Amino acid sequence: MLAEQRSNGAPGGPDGRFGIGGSAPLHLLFPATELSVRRALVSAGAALRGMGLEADTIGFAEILLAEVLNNVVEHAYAGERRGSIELEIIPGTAHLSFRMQDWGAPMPGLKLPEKKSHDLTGPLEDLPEGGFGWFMIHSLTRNLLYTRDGERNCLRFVMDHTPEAALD
Amino acid sequence: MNLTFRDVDGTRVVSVGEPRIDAAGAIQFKDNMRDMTEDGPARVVLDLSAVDFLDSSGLGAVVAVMKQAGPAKKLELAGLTPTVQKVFKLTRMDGVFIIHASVEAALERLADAS
Repeated sequence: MLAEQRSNGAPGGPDGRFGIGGSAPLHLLFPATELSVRRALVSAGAALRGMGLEADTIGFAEILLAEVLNNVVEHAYAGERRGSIELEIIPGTAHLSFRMQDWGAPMPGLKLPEKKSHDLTGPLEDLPEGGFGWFMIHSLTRNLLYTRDGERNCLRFVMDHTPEAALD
Repeated sequence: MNLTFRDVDGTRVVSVGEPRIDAAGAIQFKDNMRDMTEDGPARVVLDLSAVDFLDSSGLGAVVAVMKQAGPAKKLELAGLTPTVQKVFKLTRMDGVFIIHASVEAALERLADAS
């Protein structure tokens, strides 16, 4: 896995953007496999701790990243497809901005799955075992945007340090 | 996958010795749990105190384990760490499972400590 995190104060990221508060963006490039995603999440968690973020913010960010990254592995690179995922995390004032790119299959209909909640009130045998991911992604983010440019998928989103979903 | 169990007063405590139940390991977790809960006591407490992280695949696997245990067996959870708690709360699955603060609390049959 290729990881870059430039030292504090220096402009970082491909556009010269830099995080407010002196933290540089995190830039990861790694294969689209479940194990590589796990490693990328651990690296991202360590980098977020290094940015001085609170434990709860880091927890929500890791949950969110796991869902978006696993979606790429499971769907964009389903079956025989192989490829990479590029992830950028840019610290903001009271939020984190994310940009994730992959070169796999496009989203069905070229649009994001909706936020669909489950009915959990039924009997045990009817409880859902999947489909939680997009619900959590929508709950934790704002400005969620999917674009496709040639062979490349790009997903951008913002997570507040205290996502609204975290408030009671 | 590192799963161990002990039987205490009619309760089987299954401890997950892995730090993560995620997409890379969820299927194996589900299969191993089936082996651990097929026979033995009707009440099973899943000790998650060593699990730092669980994603939606991990959550799905825990739900699958509860479903496969069936109405004859009761699966309860104990020792949810902060990030794992967040996942259960975000998905509202904390209202579906009986969750104890710790294995000790589960064995003392204290009320739900969420």
